[in-house]
Amino acid sequence: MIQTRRESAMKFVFAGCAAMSVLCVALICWFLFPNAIPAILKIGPAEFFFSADWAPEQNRFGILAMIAGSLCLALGAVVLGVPIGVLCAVFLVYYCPAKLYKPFSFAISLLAGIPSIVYGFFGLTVLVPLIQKCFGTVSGKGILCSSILLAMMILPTIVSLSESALRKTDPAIYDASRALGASHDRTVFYVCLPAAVSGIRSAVVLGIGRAIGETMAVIMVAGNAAIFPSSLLSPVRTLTTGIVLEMSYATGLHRQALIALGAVLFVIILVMNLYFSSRKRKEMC
Amino acid sequence: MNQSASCILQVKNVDVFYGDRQALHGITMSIPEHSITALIGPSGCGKSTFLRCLNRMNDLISGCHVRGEILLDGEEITETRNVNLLRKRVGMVFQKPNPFDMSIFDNVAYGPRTAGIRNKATLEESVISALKQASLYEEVKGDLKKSALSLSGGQQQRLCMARALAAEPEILLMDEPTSALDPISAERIEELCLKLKENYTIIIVTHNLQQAIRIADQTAFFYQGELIEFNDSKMLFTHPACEKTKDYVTGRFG
Repeated sequence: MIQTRRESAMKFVFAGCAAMSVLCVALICWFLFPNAIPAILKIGPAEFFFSADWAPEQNRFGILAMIAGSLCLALGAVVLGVPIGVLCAVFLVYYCPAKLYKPFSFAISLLAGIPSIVYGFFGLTVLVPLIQKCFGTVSGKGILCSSILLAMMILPTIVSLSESALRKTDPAIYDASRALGASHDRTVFYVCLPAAVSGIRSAVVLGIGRAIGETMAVIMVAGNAAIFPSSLLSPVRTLTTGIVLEMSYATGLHRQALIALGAVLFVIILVMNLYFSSRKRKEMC
Repeated sequence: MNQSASCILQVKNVDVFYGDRQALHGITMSIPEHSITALIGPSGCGKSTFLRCLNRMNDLISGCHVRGEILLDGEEITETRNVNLLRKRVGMVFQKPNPFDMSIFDNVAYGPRTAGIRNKATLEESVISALKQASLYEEVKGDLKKSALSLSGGQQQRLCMARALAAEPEILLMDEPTSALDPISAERIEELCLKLKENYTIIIVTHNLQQAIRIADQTAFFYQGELIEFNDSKMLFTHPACEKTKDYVTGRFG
């Protein structure tokens, strides 16, 4: 009797814990949207989303430049990081000598554990001067530098997810291809890699999510000018850095506009995660 | 055994080792052209290992090494540098259907494409011919772009046969090709083998003795890594020369 009562009591504890995480999401939404939506309406949705003119002191709040900045950096990170990450996974699964595997995968997991502020320092002290020297620009900060840095940061995600996708492919198709007279290389790139493509796609989506959400490393190397990016070397401000840079002194509508920035970011990441989980569900079936 | 038929494959004193363990002991046999040879024996007797020697798939298993002579058309294959060329000549169908996650067309075209054929018309021709040879064409001709994984198990296995045939092999190795299939699909594969032996030499590993009786011209009985008996199927099953063979084919052990 006591036993069952205790069990049912525990059930409520577990349910409470589960409810807590739902509550967190609900609370964040409850804070975010009631602040963001009135601000967007006050500024005017058209101006807010489609103007690149961000001048808070003159009450002009166009975030297009920052959306473009975020997307540029995500794109740059993917263009640089995905090929390297996927090929790295291919190496680990199909080419790596057994002795080298452990140090390699350890180094990659280490890469995932480095705090983003440390990446930022690395970018500031190594990448920025390097780009200055290579391209002869006054400031090395900008899209290129941030993209390289973000590519490094999403590398562990891409590598580990691609690796597990490759390992999940049926070894029988490898044998089938070899038995048809295909070389190891051809088999890997024409049979095994295509078979893992949906897993790799998820890896890319998660990588984009991380690149868009990253703040501290980006703020140190992006240049942070709220202008529409015009070249690979132009400075860039993203949604995340836009918030951090001004939140400490913003008041009134300015403050609300920054919260609206957060809401936009939240929606972008939410959409990406929904896409990711729907892909995953499709894969399970 | 029909000695007058020319032998396409000659195996002399082949030993196979997995690390220190010897899996095959001095196998010697000659396999005639355009015939079906069945390899039978209890699990772990080395028949699949033997089959995998013939297209050197054993190379892919680390720690495995093969000693002895295997001659394909008089040419030593254990020394051939270009193992991929050998595998093009000696095709293989596996126990479980293993189509690639691609369209039916791309599956069958994989072999020719690997061989460097890019011409669309040529590819199409060889794909259709291979599908016809594998008796699959009538069922899939409407939609060659369909994913191969949407086919039934029996169709997938015939697709795998078509894929092997499209590479234009001389010999087709089959490792228990019907054991994962329902009886009707298995029967279709058997019919197919009988049809294909006109143009190909087929070597098939099977656990199904009835299957060996039905389709094989000659049968080899393996036991504990040794070739116990190799003879015309009819002779081997009705008048086995060795006591062990007799015990096995009459079902006394297995």
